[in-house]
Amino acid sequence: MLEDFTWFAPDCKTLVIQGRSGSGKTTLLRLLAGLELPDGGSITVPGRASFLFQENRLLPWYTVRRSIEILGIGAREAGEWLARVGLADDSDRKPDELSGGMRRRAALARALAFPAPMLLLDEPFKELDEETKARMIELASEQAGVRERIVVVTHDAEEAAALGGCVVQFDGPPLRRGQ
Amino acid sequence: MAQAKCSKVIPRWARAVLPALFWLAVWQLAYIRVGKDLLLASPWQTMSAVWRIISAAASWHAIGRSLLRMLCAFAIGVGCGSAIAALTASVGWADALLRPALAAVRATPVASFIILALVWMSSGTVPVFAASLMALPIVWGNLTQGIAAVDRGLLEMAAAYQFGAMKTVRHVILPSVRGTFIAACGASIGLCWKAMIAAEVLGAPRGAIGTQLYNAKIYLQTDELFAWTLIVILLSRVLEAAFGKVTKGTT
Repeated sequence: MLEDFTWFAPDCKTLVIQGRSGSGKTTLLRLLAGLELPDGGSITVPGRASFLFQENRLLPWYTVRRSIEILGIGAREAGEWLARVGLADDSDRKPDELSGGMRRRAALARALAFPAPMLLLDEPFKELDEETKARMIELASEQAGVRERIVVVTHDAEEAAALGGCVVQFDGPPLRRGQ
Repeated sequence: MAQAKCSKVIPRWARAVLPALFWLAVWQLAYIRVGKDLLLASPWQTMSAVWRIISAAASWHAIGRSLLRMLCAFAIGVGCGSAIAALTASVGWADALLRPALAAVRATPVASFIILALVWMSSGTVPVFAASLMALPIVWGNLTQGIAAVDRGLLEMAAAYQFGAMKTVRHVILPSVRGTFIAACGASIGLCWKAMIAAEVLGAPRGAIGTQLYNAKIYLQTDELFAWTLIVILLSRVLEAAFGKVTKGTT
């Protein structure tokens, strides 16, 4: 998916990647997270990553609070993160008891709660209404103060602008872009 | 639709009792038609024999020993089946090596195992061995399928969040396979029980339901043969119901 790709962006703490479907945005996140290995070349990242997948990937047998706790995060802190995404009253519910937007926020809370130098967010605000999206963008933007690097993939130009940081446009497979 | 209509017309108690009465009537008519106690015991003779059996302490000893063997066999079969499933799911060569053997175990008639085992081990151990071999391939097969069907997305999430092997097994794999595991155990109970009784009949160990069945047969006590068979069926239902009760709400 990604070919002849060179990317060196030491000055951009928050990188927002925009581009059409199939252009390799998610592949880049997976490479950064170490879930896929490149056929050639090398990737240097600041450390482990907290990854919000495009699908929520919450454990269906646990409450959303438990899904955060099993990352080694205390019950109180997990509750606080869920409260910050507006799920204070739903923290003891399982994913199938929540709406699509609530599940998305729960998955976002998990990604934000996980202490890693790098935060990878793949379409983080999909399924959210405009008001909630604005609050979640604010929450994600705050992470620039505590993470070494944030990489966000989005289709939405407004989201990209609101997140701040460097915006990189991915176009057309195979991707041949350097910055 | 027809079932719904039927349930409205016939009360619930009658739906349970009427079929039983019907088959009792068929049994009684067959007894009258055959007319030989040696070939077919009547329902009354069978119930009288059941009463005689449950009134004797030795019978309870045999029932207890058989149940104990069954529980041992079930535990061994489920334990070994689970361990082998974990091995074959995680080590490619182990799967290639063990799959044909387990397929052979699954396809081999239980009588073959019993007769072979009677040559190798004591008559009290053979029922445990034969019954555990019934549970093992079922548990292995179901668990293997269950492990293969674990959501790849959740496994990837576990890798991304640095779960490690133990945490991934505990929080992702075990909850994913719980349903198939319980289904396999449920399916194994009946098979285990039947295989164990068959092994007890052939091996005739001391203190066993199968030995009582064998004795009833060689002494031509048809009513006792029927009574012990009835007890075997009832105990099988009790075991399945107890398992269902224990695992209720866990899938």
